[in-house]
This record gives sequence, structure tokens and C-alpha cells, in this order.
Amino acid sequence: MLAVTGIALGLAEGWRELGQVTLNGIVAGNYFALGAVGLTLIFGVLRLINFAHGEFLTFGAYMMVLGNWLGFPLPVSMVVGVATTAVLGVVLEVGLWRPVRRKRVGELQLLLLALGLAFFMRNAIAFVAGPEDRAAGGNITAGVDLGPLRIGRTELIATAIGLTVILVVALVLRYSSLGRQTRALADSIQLAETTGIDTDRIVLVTWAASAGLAGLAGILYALPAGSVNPNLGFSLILSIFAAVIVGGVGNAYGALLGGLLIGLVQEWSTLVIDPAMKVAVGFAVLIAVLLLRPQGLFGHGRPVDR
Amino acid sequence: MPGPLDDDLTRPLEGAAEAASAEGPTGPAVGRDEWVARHGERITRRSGVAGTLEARLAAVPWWAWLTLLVAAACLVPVVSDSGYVRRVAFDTVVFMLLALGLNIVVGWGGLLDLGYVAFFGIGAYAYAMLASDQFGVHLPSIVAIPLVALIGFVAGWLVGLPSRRLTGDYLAIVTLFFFQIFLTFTNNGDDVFGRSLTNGPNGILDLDAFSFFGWTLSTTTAQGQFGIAYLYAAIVVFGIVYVALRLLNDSRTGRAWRSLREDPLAAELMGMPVNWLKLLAFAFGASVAALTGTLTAALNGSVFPQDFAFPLLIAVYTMVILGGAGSQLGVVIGAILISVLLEVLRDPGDSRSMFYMLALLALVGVFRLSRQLAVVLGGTIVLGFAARAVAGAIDDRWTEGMQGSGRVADWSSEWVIVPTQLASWIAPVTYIGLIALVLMLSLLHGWVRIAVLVPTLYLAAFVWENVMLAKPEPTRYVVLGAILVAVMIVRPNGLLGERRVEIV
Repeated sequence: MLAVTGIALGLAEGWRELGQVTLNGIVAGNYFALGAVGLTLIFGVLRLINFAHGEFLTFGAYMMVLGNWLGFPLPVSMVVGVATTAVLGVVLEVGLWRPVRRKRVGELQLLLLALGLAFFMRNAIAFVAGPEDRAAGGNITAGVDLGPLRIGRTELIATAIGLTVILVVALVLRYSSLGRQTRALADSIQLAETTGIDTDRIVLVTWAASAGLAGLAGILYALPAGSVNPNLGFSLILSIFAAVIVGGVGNAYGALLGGLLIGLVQEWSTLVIDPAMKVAVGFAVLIAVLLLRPQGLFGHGRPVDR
Repeated sequence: MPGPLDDDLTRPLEGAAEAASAEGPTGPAVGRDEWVARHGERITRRSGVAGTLEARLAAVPWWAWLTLLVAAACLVPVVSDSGYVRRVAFDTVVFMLLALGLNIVVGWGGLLDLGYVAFFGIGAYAYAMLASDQFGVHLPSIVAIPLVALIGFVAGWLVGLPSRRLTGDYLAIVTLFFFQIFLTFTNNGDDVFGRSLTNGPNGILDLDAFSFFGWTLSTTTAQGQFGIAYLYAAIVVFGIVYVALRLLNDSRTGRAWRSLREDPLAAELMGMPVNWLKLLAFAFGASVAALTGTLTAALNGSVFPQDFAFPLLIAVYTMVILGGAGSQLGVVIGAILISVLLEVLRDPGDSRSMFYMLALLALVGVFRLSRQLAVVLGGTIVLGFAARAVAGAIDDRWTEGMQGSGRVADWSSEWVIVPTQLASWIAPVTYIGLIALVLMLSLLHGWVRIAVLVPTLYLAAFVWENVMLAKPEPTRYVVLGAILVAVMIVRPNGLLGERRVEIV
């Protein structure tokens, strides 16, 4: 279906334009995918929709800006951003989520807590760093020509890093012991516990990975965009949610592919409709998937409700 | 489950009353499960003075509370002739209405609707399109208001439709998307197929004022102040909605909603039309929100996309959660508290007093009147005076930056370090340090916790005086988010929410 749409768009709007938006779609898709995989892992393991995930993206990008401001070279700043966001994820798990889970509060309360946390974090970041745009530090003027298509140099590097990390995440999940344990937890935390997996440790690792990948996603978004502001994460989180659901909630590979798919579809849509309505296209895809295939495009046919 | 079923379970068996009376009135009744029979009491009873007070207050009928609320709201213009106070009273009534509407969805239906404010916006925009020059339509208010409520109902119905097959968290995402699309559409709706629908960020201006049977409610007085008629219009709408919802809650549908919230699976097994009930809750909530939208739209005479932003959603949720989802009186009280709090935070002097008062209340609430409370309070006060004395001895400029006047300001300027000139790194570092300390507190116990609590409190006062008061606007949002998080952790059922015991 994707191919048919692509060919139709190509015939209608011209192949060069299609190639350009496809390239943009892959660029967008890689940070959606990185954001989505962390969100879906946390959901899979803890059954928690982390509304504050978007703020992890913002936090990572701001930490990179802080690194730049302290005078580190850009690659070091990027590592600082990812590492501090991972630490933030762990700190929140230990200081907030674990005590709350111990109290056995309801699902609705957990969701509202995540929502309140997201709002708090966004405004706390705006409070400390100021609401204005800040330069991200990447070079956004240099461009590279790929045949008839054009892509920013920073964009190309960011995409390369993103796709590499996506591949590494997929391999780690597939082949390493840690990845297998994480997936086991995502299937059933009780069963995983009975087979002797240290669930507390895996949950911590999952938070670190989820937040770290989100931080990276924020950085890879901010660098080509050239600037960061406190609403960075919120502007992306809906597309990331769409990617998670399209890929099947809790399914890490699905989230990776779903992220790329949402990026592609949203960019393609800009050929036909007002780019400001991109988010509506993501919504349309989401609704279609929910109505036709609620377990997600790449789900295993497991029912949505637990 | 309350109601008839409870009676069936707990009714004594035939002849049990005679057998029981033989053992005297205090002995356990034969054929009657004591644990089940006392189930209802255990849910609500608390011991001590608080319990007695609570029981007395709970015995006050709902219409008495409603009368009290309405009378208090009606008396606001009598007490104060300031246009500002009256306008705040109007906004508070609007918040009360919004909280009542959200209570249907969250408190009764148990659904997480993150698009709620969009329905408020849809109501306002619908009124704007039906009663302005935008399309040249000028419906009389008596037609437009019910029509808008109906539009809200239908819109809620349509958005709820995908929720047929969705569980709570999917619904939250779908409605959040819907909210975002509403904002996108209102912001970019100035060129839909070459026709301007919403005028984009410029909004729709010059709406008709409310007008009933030739009598127009003017939005401003002759002196240009807030038109008091709108406060009374809002109160009338509030009274009608409150009573209607009360009746709805006591009806068959209301009971079905409650059972749906407690356990959807059990409700479905009992043969309840779960999807139908969810849609109904959604649509009723949306309808109330849309109705409320007409009030603000008519008073402001204009609608803009930025009137329906994300912070408003968080504010309404905080009201419902703080008051206690499910309790009509609770959410209304929550709305009053949050609305007043947000207004108070606009003024540095008031918000300073508010901060110390709330901190004290919270401490008493956590520690009761105990030795620990004395230690924490005493420790914090001593630490404050010591720190200020040391800072003052090093350099006078470190302690002479206190703004404002009044008793609280005089007192706190003797206690908190407020430098005249704040180095730029201090604000972020102390702020982040405060958040880290608070997170750490949740991990500690016993005396270590109290030892950490003392500097945390002092740091909180320092941050409040030096950093937060300087930026009132983000402070309001930060406080709002912090309240929502804190209520969820400390008292997930809110102030007046139904407390439930887990039946194991």
C-alpha cells in the first residue's frame, strides 16, 4: 500500500519532489523511531504510557546545549546530553515511579501522574533555560548534493548516527542477554520474575535506555533544526505516540519501523496538503490502524487489552 | 457495589433476628457476615474528632451545599465592587463548570480525556460562528446556547467512537491528538478551500452578547467594568448543570457508570452496554464543556486559539484530582481552590504569604502535632537565622535584596538570604538542587529524612523568594504541575474522593 501511494504521488507531483520528501521523511523518521522505541519499551515493561517522554527529548537537547556552553566539543556535548538524560530516567524511576508503584495506585492515576510530570518538566526547563530559542551548535548552512536531491550536512550526519543506533538497538534487543531479558519483561513481568530475571535491575536498565535514546532523539532533532526550545519534545511526542501504536504497543521492532513509517507518511503528505496539518495525517494513520488492526501493523495478533 | 445488591448480601436469614436477640444486641448475628455488613462503614469511617466532623459534614444534603455555593457566589458583587474581583469570580464559576463536566468523564466514566479543553473551544467557536458577522448568522441566545451544547454532545460522541475498542491509555493518546488537531485547525483555519473558517490566530471578533427576549446582557458597565450580569448568568448555568448532573448520577445510567469505572470487565459480564456507556459519558462531558464555552465567548466577545491551550487542560485536571474525582462537591471545591491559587500567584506579596502558609499546612498534615514537627520547624527556623546571620556578616549585599513590604515580607527578610544581585548560575543550580532533594526525600526514612527535610525546606524558601517570585508566569505553571504530581502521590483520591478498601 505504501508503494502504491508512493508511485501515485510520484506520478502526480514529479519524481524529484517525491525523492526529496522521502529523504526528509527518513530524516524525520529516525528521530521518531529513536523516541518511539524507548516509549514502547517502558510501556511493555511497566504498562505505563510515559507522557513525560517528550520532555526527555527536550532535556537531552538542552543538556547538549549546556555542554556546548561549557566549551566541550560537539560530539562530547552530545554524549553528555545522552548520558545525563539516561541518568534522569533512572533518578525518576527510583525517586518517583517505584515508590508510586509500591502504593498500587490505579492506572488512571499513573497516567495523570505522567501527564503532570510532563507539564512540570516542560515548565521547569522553560524556567531554568528561559522560553526563548537557543542555538544548538550544529552547522546548518552546509549542504550535500545527492544526485538531484539536497540534504543538509548536519542532517546527513544526524541521520547516519540515528540509523546506526537504530540498528544497534535492534541487534542488542535481538541477540544480547540483556535484550532478551528486556523483551521477556515486556511479555510478562511475572513470568520473567519466576524464571530468575532480576526485574528491578532490568527495569532500571530499560529506563536508562529509554531516556538515553529519547535524549539522543532530541539531540538529532535539534542539531539539523539549529535551535532548541522548551516545546521541542511536546511538538514531537504525538508523532512518536503514533509511531508506537502503528508499530504495535510494546513491540520494539515495530516502534522502530513505525517511527520511520510515520516520518515518511507525514513528509509525503506535505506534497498534497498544508504542511501545518502534518500532525493530522499522523492522526489519520493512527485512527486507521486502531480501527483496522488494533494490535499494530507489526504486532503478533495479541489483543490490545491485557 | 452500593445499592440493592448490598442489602441482599447482608440481609439476615430467616429467623436470624430471633437467634441474634437471644445472644444480646452486641453479639455477632447468626447468619449474617459481620465483615460484609460493616463493609460500608469501613470505607468511610475515620476515628477521632476528624471522623466525627467528617460524618457530620457528609450528612449535610447535597442541595444544602449547592445553595451555600450559589449564595456565596451571588454575594461576591455585594461584598466587592471591584471589577477585577468580579471577573475572577466569573472565571471561577467557569472553572467550576469545566470541572463538573470533566468529572463526568474522569470521575464517573473512568476515562482519561485529554481533549477535554478542545470541546470547551468547540463550544466557544461554535457560538462565535452562530452569533457573529463571521458567517452573517445571528441566532438568538435562547436557540444558540442549547444548539452549542448539542454540537458539543455530537462532537464528543464522534471523538469517543474510536474508543469503542480502546482501553484507557489508547483513549488518552487519541484525545490528546484530537486536542492538538483542534489547535492546529483553529490556528490554520483561515484558508480552508479558499474560505476563512476560524480567522486563524486573529480569532473571531465582535460576537453577539447574550440576549434573552429582547433583554441584552451587556458585557461591560457604563464605567467600562466587567458586566455583572454574566456572573449571574454563569451562576444560573452552574446551578442547572449541577442539579441535572446530580440527578443523572443518581439515575440508572449514573450507577452503571460507577460500576464501569470500578471494574469494566465485571460490568460487561453483568450485561452492561460498556461501549454505549463510555460514549455517553464522553458526550455528556463534552456537552458541558461546550456549554461553558458559550459563556466565556459571549463575555469576551471574541475567541482566539490560544485561549484553549494545554495549561488550561492541566488546570482543570488538577481541580478534578485535587477535589476528588467522582465527587461533585469535591471537584467544585477543587476548582475554587485552584482558581484562587492561580490568581494569588500573580501577585508576589500574596504568593509569598501563600507559600509559607501552605508549607506550614503541609508540614502539619504530614507530621500531625508531634515531636517531629517541632524538630523540623525549629530546625528550619534556626537554620534560617543562622544562615542569614553568617551571610550578613560576610557581605551586606547578600541579604538586602528583599522586595515588597508587609508583615510576612518583614519577617522573611530577617530569615531568608535574598541577595540584591543574584549571580546567573544560582537560580538554575538551586532550583535543580531543590528538585533533586525532593526526589531524594521519597527514598529516606526516619531521622535521616527529617535531617534532609530541614535544608530542603530552607532551600525551597530560598528558591521561592529569589527565583520564583521574579517570574510569576512560569511559576504558576510549575506550581500547577507540582500540585498535580504531589496530589497523585500523597492522596490519589483527592480531598473528597470516595475512599475505597481493597477487598482481598
